[in-house]
Amino acid sequence: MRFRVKDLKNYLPGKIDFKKVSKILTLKSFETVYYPDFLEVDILPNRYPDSASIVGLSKEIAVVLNKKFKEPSIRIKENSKKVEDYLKIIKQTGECSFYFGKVLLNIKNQDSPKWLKEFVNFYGFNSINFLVDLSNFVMVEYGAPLHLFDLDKIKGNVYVRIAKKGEKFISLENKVYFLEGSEIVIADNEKILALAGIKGSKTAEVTIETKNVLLEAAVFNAYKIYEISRKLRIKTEASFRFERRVSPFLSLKSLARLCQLIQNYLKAEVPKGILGYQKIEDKVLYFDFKKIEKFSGVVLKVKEFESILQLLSIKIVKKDKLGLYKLKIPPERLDIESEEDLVEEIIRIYGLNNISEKYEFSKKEVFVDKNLDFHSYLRRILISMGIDEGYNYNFCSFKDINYFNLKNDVDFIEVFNPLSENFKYFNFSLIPNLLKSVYLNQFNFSEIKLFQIDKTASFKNGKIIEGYKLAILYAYKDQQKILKYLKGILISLFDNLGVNFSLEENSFFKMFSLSAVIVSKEKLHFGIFGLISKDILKSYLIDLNVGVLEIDLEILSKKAKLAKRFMAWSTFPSIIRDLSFLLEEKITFKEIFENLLSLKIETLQQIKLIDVYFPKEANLKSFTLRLVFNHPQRNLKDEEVDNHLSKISDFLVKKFKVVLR
Amino acid sequence: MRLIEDLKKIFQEAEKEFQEVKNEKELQQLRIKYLGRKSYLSNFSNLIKNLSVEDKKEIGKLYNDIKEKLENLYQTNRNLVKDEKIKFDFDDPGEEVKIAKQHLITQTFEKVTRIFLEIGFSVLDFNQIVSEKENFDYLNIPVNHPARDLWDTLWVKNKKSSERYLFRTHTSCFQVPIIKKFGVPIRAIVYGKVFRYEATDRTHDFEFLQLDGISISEDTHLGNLKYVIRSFFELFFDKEITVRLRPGYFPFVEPGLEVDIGCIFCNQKGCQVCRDSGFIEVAGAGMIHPFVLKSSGLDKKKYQGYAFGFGLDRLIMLKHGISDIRILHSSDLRFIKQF
Repeated sequence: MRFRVKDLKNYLPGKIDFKKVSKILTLKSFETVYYPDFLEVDILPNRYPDSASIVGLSKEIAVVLNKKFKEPSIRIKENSKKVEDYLKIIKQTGECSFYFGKVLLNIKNQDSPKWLKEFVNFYGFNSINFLVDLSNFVMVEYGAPLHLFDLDKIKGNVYVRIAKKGEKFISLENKVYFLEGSEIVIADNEKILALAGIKGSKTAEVTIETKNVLLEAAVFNAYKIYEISRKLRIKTEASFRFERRVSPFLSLKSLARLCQLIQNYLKAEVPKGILGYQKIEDKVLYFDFKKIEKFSGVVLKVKEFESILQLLSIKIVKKDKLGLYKLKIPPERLDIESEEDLVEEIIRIYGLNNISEKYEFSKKEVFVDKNLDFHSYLRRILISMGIDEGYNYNFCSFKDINYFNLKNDVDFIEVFNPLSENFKYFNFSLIPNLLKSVYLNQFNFSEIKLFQIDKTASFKNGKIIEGYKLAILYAYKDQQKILKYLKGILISLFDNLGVNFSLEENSFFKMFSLSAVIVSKEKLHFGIFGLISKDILKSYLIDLNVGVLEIDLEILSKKAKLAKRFMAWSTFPSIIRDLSFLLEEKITFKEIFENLLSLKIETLQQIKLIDVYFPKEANLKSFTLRLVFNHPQRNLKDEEVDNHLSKISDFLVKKFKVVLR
Repeated sequence: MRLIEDLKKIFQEAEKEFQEVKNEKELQQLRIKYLGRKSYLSNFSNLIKNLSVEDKKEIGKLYNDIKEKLENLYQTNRNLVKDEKIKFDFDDPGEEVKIAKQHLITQTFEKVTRIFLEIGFSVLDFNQIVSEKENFDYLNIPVNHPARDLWDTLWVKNKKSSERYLFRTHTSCFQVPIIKKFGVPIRAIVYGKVFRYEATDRTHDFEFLQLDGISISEDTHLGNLKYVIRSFFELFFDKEITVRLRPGYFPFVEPGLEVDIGCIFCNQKGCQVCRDSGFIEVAGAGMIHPFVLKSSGLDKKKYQGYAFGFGLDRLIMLKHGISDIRILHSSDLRFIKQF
């Protein structure tokens, strides 16, 4: 909020350096920027009731500078008539805690003088007429919104009530609203006069011709005003202030101040008394002096503490030897409601930067979340494999979802109010956004290796299930190389984690031209592995071929063996023999592997498939096996190994009809 | 005996060849030829298996003799072979070796994790999709409270569930559930993505990074908070840091504080980054509000503590001189490879 320096000066006698004021306010109260004619002050939301006004801010400045503050004296000349004789105010809802009214008669309304026009313009209002401008003047001066009704346009009494469903409200701009039936309204016997706390109606509008007015100073339920203002999309200075709460004490004061000003400038007659008058109770709080040290480490002397209370106009009602105080809080300080609030007041005035640092021990052992730890481990491995780490948004579009709707059985999480079509769904897979990263990079790199570990989520039985996934992507021109590379990554990664897996080819993932599920021994699905189909690549404008791996880390982390044990190796040399042969395409390495194991050759330590290729002949493929023989206690002889090898060859020829090469 | 002749002949040939060795490669070829697994000598036991015991004895001695001499020849020659003159231009561009890089953001996460472990905080993880209660109500931000305007929220489209879910607008939503889960005393942080219904520009993104920390015990106070904040920023920027506290307002702390650090670029003399103020606003903090303690099931008479929160993107951008948050949040390898 902006405050003109000349307005503040009216309440702060003596010479004041406002540049200095802005610095002190920033440190002790509100962030403030100094301009030659005005201050821009970021009033904290909880201090709005007492400080978002010229009087309030002046008081605050007086406190932090320890200077005098001069409040205007308010005197009204009331006549002998009673205000109750003019009309009654009937409160029919608890959403209004205070409703003060005053009647002013025989007013000579006119255009505002230059000073007032300038004033209201600076504080963000259009000048309407003298009466209306004065009420805005007082709102800015004291912080409480006021409302004026043309008394002659009110039929009967004034009711504060909840609107009826479908009831019509015509705003000052002649806009018609049909109310829902939960709004607070001010009405007479016939019509709505105002949407309480938000806006007046045409019905009892104050114009230049207005002679007699009803002056309203009220306090409405802040939550309710917030709700109504949002629902009807009407935001006014008044609603903004009511949402942040209004002090009834200041409301009552503003009422008197406005009466005084109208009387001074526009010669009004004022009947005595206040409609709806209630006494505003003093706010009393108990405070334990030791709380200051306990909360901030600051050790204050009793004298210092009490002088800060005095600065803040907090009165000591009672105190005992143990340092327990009974305090009376200024009624406009709605933000001070507890001991903690008082500690805040004391230490900010004492100086937050006088708090001294204190080392604190952890009273419990500290640790890192297991998942985060596992992710760091994975990152180290993947980086060491030469794969860069990518970073993407957690949201994607319907198009992305649709392409990657793996089996049409995922219940995606949709955003109720998406920023755009591109960010309509929370990621279920990291693949769509990683493909966008390929597009981003393909103009600068001919080979792209990226991985990402991030959150994904979906509904399961109506519940939101979040989990981490790891996606690894390889973009290159050669499809065979992509598949071999990713397979290699998969083997090394799982091997390092001590997890067994196999790949089961399947074709129900529609984004792949070739794909397999990564499964555990117990048939748990770790994830998917595949080559992105040309159609999809085209739709993402990708020129390279792309293969991906995506692994569910919630499952992998449970299987991974990170606590490793040393395994000794044989001190005797191994003998290695490679064996190449042609075989039928449908025979898997797994079958061959298991059958070779059944031969029970003890010295056969390893059977590895080191090469696969498809020769021109139909339905055949070529395997090269690497067989490693070793005896832990002695050197093996060539002829032993040769014997085993011929036994294996014979077996393969007989069992699988392979053709040795 | 032919075998003796053969052995002698082989030795003579070998001696001659070893004398003519020019380089390491030739030497290794000779080693394989005369001493390797498939050499004449290694197959020798097969050749003599049918001889008489006496012959075996005689020829065995010769064999061992020759084998030892050959070994010696090999070893001697090995010592004699010198480095050849190799040509290499040290201006040669070298082979292109690519270094894979961890994204700057996760590098920062790991750095932050190390720092907080060092100053005695556990590093935890928390959901990104949370209930309205976790994000707002538990933290003293009830429905229709103007404070909710501070967080423009992205909501989850409802699935018949009565409770509303949203994409967390701040990491502070971890406070109450984590206190409930781990109990007190507690010192813990959480970091990660948060989401807002907000337009994107050079300094704002609708997804961004926050870090939130809490410490609760019977006597944790603002002096401890000040220590932790200064320590973190000094370790993060690897520099001596001045911390300045100002009054602030967050519904879930009381007293509430804004935390500034002395500008790391101009040493508080005033520059473009700190807009001549000498300070940069980096965090919000304060003593945990009694309402939040109550939400967590704690007695405010017995326990107290502080909370703090930073925007991590801004810290990364300040530290590394990145002016556009959208580059930081990307997978552009030209960016990733730099760090």
